[in-house]
Amino acid sequence: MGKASVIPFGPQHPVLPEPLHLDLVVEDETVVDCIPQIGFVHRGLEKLVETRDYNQFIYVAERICGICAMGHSLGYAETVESLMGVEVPKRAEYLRVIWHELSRVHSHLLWLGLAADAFGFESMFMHCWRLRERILDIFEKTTGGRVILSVVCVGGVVRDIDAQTLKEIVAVLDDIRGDYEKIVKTLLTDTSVKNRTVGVGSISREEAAALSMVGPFGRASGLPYDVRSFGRGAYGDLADFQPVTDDQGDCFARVKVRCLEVLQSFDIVKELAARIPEGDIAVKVKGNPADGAQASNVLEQPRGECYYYARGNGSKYLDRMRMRTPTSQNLAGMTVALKGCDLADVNMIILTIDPCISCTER
Amino acid sequence: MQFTSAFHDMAAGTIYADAQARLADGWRYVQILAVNKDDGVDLVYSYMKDGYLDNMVVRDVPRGAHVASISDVFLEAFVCENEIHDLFGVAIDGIAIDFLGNFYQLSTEKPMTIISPAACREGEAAQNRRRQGCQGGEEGRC
Repeated sequence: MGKASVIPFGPQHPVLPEPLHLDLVVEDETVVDCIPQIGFVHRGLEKLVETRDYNQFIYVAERICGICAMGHSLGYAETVESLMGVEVPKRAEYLRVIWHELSRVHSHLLWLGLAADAFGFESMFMHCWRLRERILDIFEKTTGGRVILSVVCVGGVVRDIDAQTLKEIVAVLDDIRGDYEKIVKTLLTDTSVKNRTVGVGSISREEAAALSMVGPFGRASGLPYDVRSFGRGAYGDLADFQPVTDDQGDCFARVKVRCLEVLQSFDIVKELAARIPEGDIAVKVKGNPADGAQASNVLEQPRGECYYYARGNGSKYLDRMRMRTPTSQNLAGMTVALKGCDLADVNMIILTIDPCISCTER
Repeated sequence: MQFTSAFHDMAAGTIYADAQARLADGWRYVQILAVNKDDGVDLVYSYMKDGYLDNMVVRDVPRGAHVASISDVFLEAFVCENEIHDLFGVAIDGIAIDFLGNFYQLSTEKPMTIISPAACREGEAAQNRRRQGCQGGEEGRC
């Protein structure tokens, strides 16, 4: 038996997009235990509900994380709407989902580039981020922002997308689809990619269920849980929605699930753009949440299920706003995936979990 | 599968038994959160099964009270439990991975229990309006 030693990983590391520290207990080159440490970007954003009213706080929520900005503003708005009994117009629901799915595409492309860069596939990183730029151009054209969109409000959305712009969005997605499918084919059939990912960091379906894993991390282990399956909002009008799953549970499965989810998001945006109803884009919200009223909500962020909770106290400020993000749910799964792996595989396992530490710490 | 959510009250002494029962019954752990109140803290434990999100509210946990950890039932709960300990000062016994108050590097202890003056004023104004029987109009003004 080798002698155990502790190797610190992070919080600064070339493959980590955000600060995360791991104490890796290794014997020879094998990780036998892993103790995570976060807290490097805790900003106390949830406490700002005390000084920002429920309309203003949406701008704080979307700044929790740059990658998940649209998702957090949407999840927060839906929770407050549930708290106050506000019904959002149908057109606003469609617009929200269109932006949210495009946000999923940009998040997965960002991640795909980072994952490719982590195992030295620099040209793949460049191509993924080149395609991502086309999505960010759509955001800039429709909202004025590339990453922080500020387009969701309590009661609906603040901007509309006209029919011509919707056609242009669909045209862009059709245009990049060919390039994207070539990228995915290269990635999923390349021998060196498979050598680094197949059989690495495996988590079985039973382990994933026991650890309540969410998002592509859980779906790659065969758990078919996706909040979009509940069919709320515009998702309920889709002809068919099935979560993308794989049953191998290794790093390759997680890469594959995210790659296929991008194509699924393309199809969702195209379908909703084709059948978006006419109508208002927001309703006026009056009054304050009732004292003691509470509401909970879940949303499928790019990294998985995100839980939102709000409690009112009769004033314009919420008593409490809470977001439980998917990465905080998956941290336990990450420690399980790392146990027993080679030290050289730690980078790839962590990246295929797609951790978003800004979201986790808020 | 439809999504529904509900809130139910739960006694503090039944937290662990409830978690064990839910694990055995196939429920999935979702999260734990704390809400600061005047005399203590409310804890909300959330579980989901077949699209039903059940939020169990433990009301008025006194400050300094000890609560059992559920992280040996649901390991992933250690994140929320450490966070609640650091931000709200709730003592949670037996956390599987316990950072002993160092989960977040905070300059102020139990920061979520310190309420800003602006929030206090708004809360008192809302209470006064309720006492006066105001139904609330735009921005809650009579």
